[in-house]
Amino acid sequence: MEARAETKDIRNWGDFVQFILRELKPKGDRLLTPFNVISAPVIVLGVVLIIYRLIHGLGSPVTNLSQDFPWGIWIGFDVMVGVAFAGGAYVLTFVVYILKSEKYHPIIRATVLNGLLAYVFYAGAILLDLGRWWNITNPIIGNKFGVNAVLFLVAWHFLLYMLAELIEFSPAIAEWLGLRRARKILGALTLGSVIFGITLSTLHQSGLGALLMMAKWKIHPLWYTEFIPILFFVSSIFAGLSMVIFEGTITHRVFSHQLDAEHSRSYDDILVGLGKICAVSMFAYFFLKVLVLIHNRQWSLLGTPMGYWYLTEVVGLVLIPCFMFVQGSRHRNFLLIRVAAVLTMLGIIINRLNYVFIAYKWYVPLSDRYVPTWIEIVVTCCIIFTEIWVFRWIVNRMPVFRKPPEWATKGFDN
Amino acid sequence: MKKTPLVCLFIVIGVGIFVLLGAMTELYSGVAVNDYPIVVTDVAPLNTLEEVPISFYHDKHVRALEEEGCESCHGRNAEGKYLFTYPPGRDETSRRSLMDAYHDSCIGCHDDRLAAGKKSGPVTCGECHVPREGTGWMQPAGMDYAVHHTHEVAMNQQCDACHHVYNEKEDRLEYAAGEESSCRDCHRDVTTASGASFREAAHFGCVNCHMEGQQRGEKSGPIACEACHGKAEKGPVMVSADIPRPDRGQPETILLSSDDATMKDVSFNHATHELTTNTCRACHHETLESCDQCHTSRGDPAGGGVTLVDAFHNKTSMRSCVGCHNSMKEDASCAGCHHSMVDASMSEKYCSTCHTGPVEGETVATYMNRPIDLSAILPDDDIIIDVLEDQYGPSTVPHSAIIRNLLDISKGNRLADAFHGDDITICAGCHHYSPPEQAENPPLCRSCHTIDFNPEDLGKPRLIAAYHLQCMGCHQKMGLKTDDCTSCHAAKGDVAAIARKEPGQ
Amino acid sequence: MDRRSFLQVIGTAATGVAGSLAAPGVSRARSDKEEKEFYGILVDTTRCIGCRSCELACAEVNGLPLPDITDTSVLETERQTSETQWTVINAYETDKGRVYVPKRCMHCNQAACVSACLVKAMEKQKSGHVTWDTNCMGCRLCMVSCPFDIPKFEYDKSLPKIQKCTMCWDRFKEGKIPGCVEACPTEALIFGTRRELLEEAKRRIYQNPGTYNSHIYGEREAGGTSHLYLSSVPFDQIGFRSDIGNTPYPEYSKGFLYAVPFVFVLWPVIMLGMNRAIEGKEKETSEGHE
Repeated sequence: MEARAETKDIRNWGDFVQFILRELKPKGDRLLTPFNVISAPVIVLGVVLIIYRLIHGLGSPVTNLSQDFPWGIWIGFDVMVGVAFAGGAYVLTFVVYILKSEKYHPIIRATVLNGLLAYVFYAGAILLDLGRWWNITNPIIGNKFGVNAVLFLVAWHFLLYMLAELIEFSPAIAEWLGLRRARKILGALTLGSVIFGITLSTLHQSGLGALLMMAKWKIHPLWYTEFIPILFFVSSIFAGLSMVIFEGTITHRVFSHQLDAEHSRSYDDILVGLGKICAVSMFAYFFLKVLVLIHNRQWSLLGTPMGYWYLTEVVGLVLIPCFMFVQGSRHRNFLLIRVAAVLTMLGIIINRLNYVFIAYKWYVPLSDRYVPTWIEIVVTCCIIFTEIWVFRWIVNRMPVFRKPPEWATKGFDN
Repeated sequence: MKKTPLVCLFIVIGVGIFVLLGAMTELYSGVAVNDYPIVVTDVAPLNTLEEVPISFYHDKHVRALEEEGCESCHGRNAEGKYLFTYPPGRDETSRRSLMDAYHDSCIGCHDDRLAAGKKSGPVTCGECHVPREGTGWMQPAGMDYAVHHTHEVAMNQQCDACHHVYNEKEDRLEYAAGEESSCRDCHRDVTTASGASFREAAHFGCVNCHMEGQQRGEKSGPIACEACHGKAEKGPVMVSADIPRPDRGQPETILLSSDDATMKDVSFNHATHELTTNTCRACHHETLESCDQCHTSRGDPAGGGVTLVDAFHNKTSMRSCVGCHNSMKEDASCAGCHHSMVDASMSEKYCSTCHTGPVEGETVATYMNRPIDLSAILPDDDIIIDVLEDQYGPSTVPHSAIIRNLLDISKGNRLADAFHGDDITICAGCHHYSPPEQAENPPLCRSCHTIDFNPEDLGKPRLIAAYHLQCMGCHQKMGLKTDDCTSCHAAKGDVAAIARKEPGQ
Repeated sequence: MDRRSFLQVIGTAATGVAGSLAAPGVSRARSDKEEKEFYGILVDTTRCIGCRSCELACAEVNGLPLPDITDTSVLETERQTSETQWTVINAYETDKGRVYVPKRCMHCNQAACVSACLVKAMEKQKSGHVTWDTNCMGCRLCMVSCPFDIPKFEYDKSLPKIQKCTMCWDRFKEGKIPGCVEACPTEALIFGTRRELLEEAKRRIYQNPGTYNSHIYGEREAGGTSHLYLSSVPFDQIGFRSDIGNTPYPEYSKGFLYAVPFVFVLWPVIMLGMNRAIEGKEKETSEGHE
């Protein structure tokens, strides 16, 4: 069944309220899809646990964080991995709006939407990890500005980037609400917000890595280098694009009814193109890692258990997917590209978690190490599922995969 | 490209085989646990080494060549005595020649035995030039009074069995009575035209004599390396006053003087000092000649630039009088006071302890048995320290007992007594920084050590710390237990009151 | 290039410059005429007898639960500071026997925790004290950054704080010396300006050759700290890391922070330039076809 937003003009607040109430009703034929059945209880449980966590604090049994391991999966996975996976937005907006490549235009809105939601939810998940979360507005309002801190820059960038992404996505919202003048103004702001967004992304993707620069001897020497920010930035390129491939595989099937023929046809080319960009950036990343290894003369460390783990991450989950992307793109082997994307994503997860609690204080014996509690895992899943639910709600109502209404595209670049 | 995975597989297998081979060669080295490997260090002419020095298993070779005997490697001279320079064709004219000499000898023998079908040793570079474990056992061997005495008894006081001098005119070795001295006087570190190195001479002289004795079936000295060169785990050799010292007619007391001396001569008791060392070389470190032969007033190259004064007064060298005496202050009986004392060496009293001019020397026996009467200098009461009574109960100091103990130690030691001859000096151990003439009535500690922390004078602890550092410091150095606060003063009530104390309380 | 494009480029560059000036890491020169010295504590481990009076005094002064200092069994294992114990004594068996070492915040000259804190909850006072304030968000980056692993988080509280030694900042403001210095019966701890403490430490080393290891830990480590340590044995035998390095830890983030203004200015200009160039090319091709 086609879900079509009615582009009726909203003239007053009453119209608006009625419109919103109508839109809030669930769309689609079945309510009890397998996904809904699994995710709904998790979301409900997660909300309960979040309330418990906000009241009770971060101690046992909520998390297994300790004085030795102050950061766990809420920072390591939700924030660092989540933000890395959201990197597809800035890469693709660069390709589409700066390099003006029309090839990726069909998926740009979905990617930007995913980026926006990723930052809202995952960077928002920071709130859960903060011990004194009620002070989260302090760096914004000026109580006080710690301008020498990398985290200050990262926090502000997250905020500004959400704004930039919102502006980039807002044309779709305007189309949904039928606000023609707003749509025109917002469309003109796109290039500016894209440039702003890419600048911000460069800095905060690398900034997440720069947070760890002072933990010099705590991070295993195979991972610690003065070039961590650059490595984080380069890896965010292929992390984001792999997420785009992964998420695209799912959404193009789920929302296939919204895609027109031209879009479906071009998707194969898009996939191959994404694979190529991933391959190139992954090879550059691998080369940088080798350079770091040579520069620090750490060959002997490769023979240790952590060395094998490093090789698993760098060779197994960067170099091998890189070659798979090459092969896949060359022979238009879509399954290979998709598998490579999944392996890449796994590699990114392992990479970020290494920096936060695996290669971080690797010398601490297993019994004293950090292992996430079930509550941390459930809350993480809750956040992911909620984000997917919101994504689904938006895609079913706003022109993300569907073609925008006639009046929106007539005479505009976007 | 279907061939790609197969190629990769072959590469992986190839690399794996290499790794495995390497690991196997490391695992199998076939060395018995009890062997004593000797690191070959006699390769100075090579200057810089390109390979790892060889660890040589002498015992393995002795066992393997039991039939063939020592001649397999060690040459013999005209009189049939074994030579201990290795290799026999040692040629030190160039790096190449020395290396070749070793290789021809060792690898040559191994090759020959291999060819003859016998059990042999390694022939490739990497099998010999590897670092081995367990090479730290070797100590330098040398003569000390105990070993010397054993030889005196074994050779029936025949000094000419070992001691010789070189008669230059007639180019031969002969015995000169009254001129016996250490081998090292002439036999130095390296072989020169004028004589073999100590190492060569010692092995040639000692091992050959021991071997001949064994061959004659007599009780003889050892010939195994580890018997003389010992194991590293052995601690420092204890000085024993019971072992008779060698007698070559040395005087009991000597008047040390020099032509341009401005101070009084030093009356030196050689006999008592002999009892404090294990070898003559402890002081006569180069020859038994007089010190001023090499250490002149101005400092000669022969004396290493060390002047005569410095030779006797250097504060840290164990070969100098002052240096050795200073090291005695670290003994547990002495360190209690001496560990924190300011160096008093610039006082006139200090110098005149030794620079006495000619005096009648005491024998050791009469010194040790003289009576000591302390009654004149012991105060009557114990001292009670109660100035900080609010945190802890008063501390009772057994003042007389402490003084008696310290005086006992001092008077029982000849060196200590020489310097503490004036008994008042002992008081300065605790009553420091006060004039000696006040010793019988010293100022109170709190006159200088304020009760509260003084940020202006960080070097002077406040009163409570002064007591603890002084008392506990001495106790720790003397090896007494210091971990129980209440053994000196009873705790009083709330110990947390310490933190609530306001300045001035 | 036409007027419009020119203005766009200039506008972008100006925004970038403005952004970079607002960006963190660019230090603006402020003339601060006040001359203040850092204060610190000199810890002479040759004098420490392991009585733990400092632990008790610290708990007393800061309203923490009082430890039982008569229980010496805790000295058998190496302890870390905790949210309720801001200083702890550890015992080490060394070449020269048992050495006791009080462990607490080093109050670094250029503290990693201060540089990491985005709300300036961790602040280095002009007198050298590194203090924590309640505007903290609880992000725990200070814990990740500290090379001595000192800040401790109150995980088990709903209103958690970051707890660590403050060198008795509150007492200092009243003109008093830190509680642990006040309590130490052997003056293993002394308080004074960092300069005076270094002089005293050097005096002790020079005048007592053989007693002290010729190194003052904290003189240069991590760029210099306000807590200075003397020892009779090499410091790695008494639980001190020898790989801290002499670089102040905030310098490790400097490379990234200095790159920020460049990215802020150059990226927008480059991207706008690329966009215009490509648009120009497209126009050319489409015009060429007409």
